[in-house]
Amino acid sequence: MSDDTVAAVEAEEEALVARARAGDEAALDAVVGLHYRSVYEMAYRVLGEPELAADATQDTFVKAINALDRFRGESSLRTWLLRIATNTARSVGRRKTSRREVELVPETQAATGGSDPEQETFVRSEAERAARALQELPEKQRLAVSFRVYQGLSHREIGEVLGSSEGAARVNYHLGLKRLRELLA
Amino acid sequence: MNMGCEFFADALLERAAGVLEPERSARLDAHLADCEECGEALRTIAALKAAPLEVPAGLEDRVRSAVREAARPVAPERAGGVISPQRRWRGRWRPWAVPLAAAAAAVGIWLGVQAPDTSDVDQAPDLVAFEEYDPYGDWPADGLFIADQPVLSELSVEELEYLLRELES
Repeated sequence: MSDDTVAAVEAEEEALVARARAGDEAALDAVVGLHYRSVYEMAYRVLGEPELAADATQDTFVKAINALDRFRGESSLRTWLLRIATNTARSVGRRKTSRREVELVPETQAATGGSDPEQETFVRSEAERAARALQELPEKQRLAVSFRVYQGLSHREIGEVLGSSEGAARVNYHLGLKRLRELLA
Repeated sequence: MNMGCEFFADALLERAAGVLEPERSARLDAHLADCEECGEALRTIAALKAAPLEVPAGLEDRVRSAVREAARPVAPERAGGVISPQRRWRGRWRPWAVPLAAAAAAVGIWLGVQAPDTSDVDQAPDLVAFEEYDPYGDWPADGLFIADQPVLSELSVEELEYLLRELES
């Protein structure tokens, strides 16, 4: 992205946040619409359970709206929300008193796209193995890989979300990918 | 992984997403011909990409409703205007709460737990265990709020300064 494009995106986000602060429902809806998938993914990757992740997603947005006065645009709205989502999901995870068996097969939509049934079955099977293996990684590696691969976050942004340095995020990503290769070999 | 592999790390992601431009794509192919490790990394990324997470149906609507509800102004408690949701607790600041909050602060300090640095306002609030109580309702009767310091994290700078003055006096 050019500097002009970045500045335009930042100005647009700033205006959206200002309207959301003022209680503009269309702006609030837009904030949710733009970011709920990322927030849900973060919560799911921490918790591993769809229902808890959905609850954590809702809690994250409610907390964020209540704390919107504290957002000053020094990071992007997305990384700010994802940081709240991380705290919220970890809190939910700690509070689980009767820890249920973690769902071993995450709910995924294996994208096949082929017309060859044999190939389709193979792709689906590999995708499910990969999704399962991803949930077996240590949390920081799991989150670094998820957000790099699925959300396209930079290592700097991942570091901001996880409260680590850009270098640590990069290392976690590469270690996670290496571990995945071993698990899938 | 060698230096050459690090150079192609982003290209692997772009290839898996189908957005790698032709020139870089040719260079990546040349690298992949000699690098089994990057080939495995690409297959791993492609497998992950083939299994995106399914977001529960209706989640967006559910979150929108909750957000609208949270953003709705509450009835003013006193003449002079609407109190925003995030100000409700502060609007209910009462003298009887001071000794309790001071005790919480003292215990927090005793435990070696530092109050959040509210000067860094762009940081996401420390919301650990925040939802274990209703911050806008009655003061929690159990001791959870002390260990998890949700009360302190909700105080304004002025309120924290007031507490410190109380502790010092």
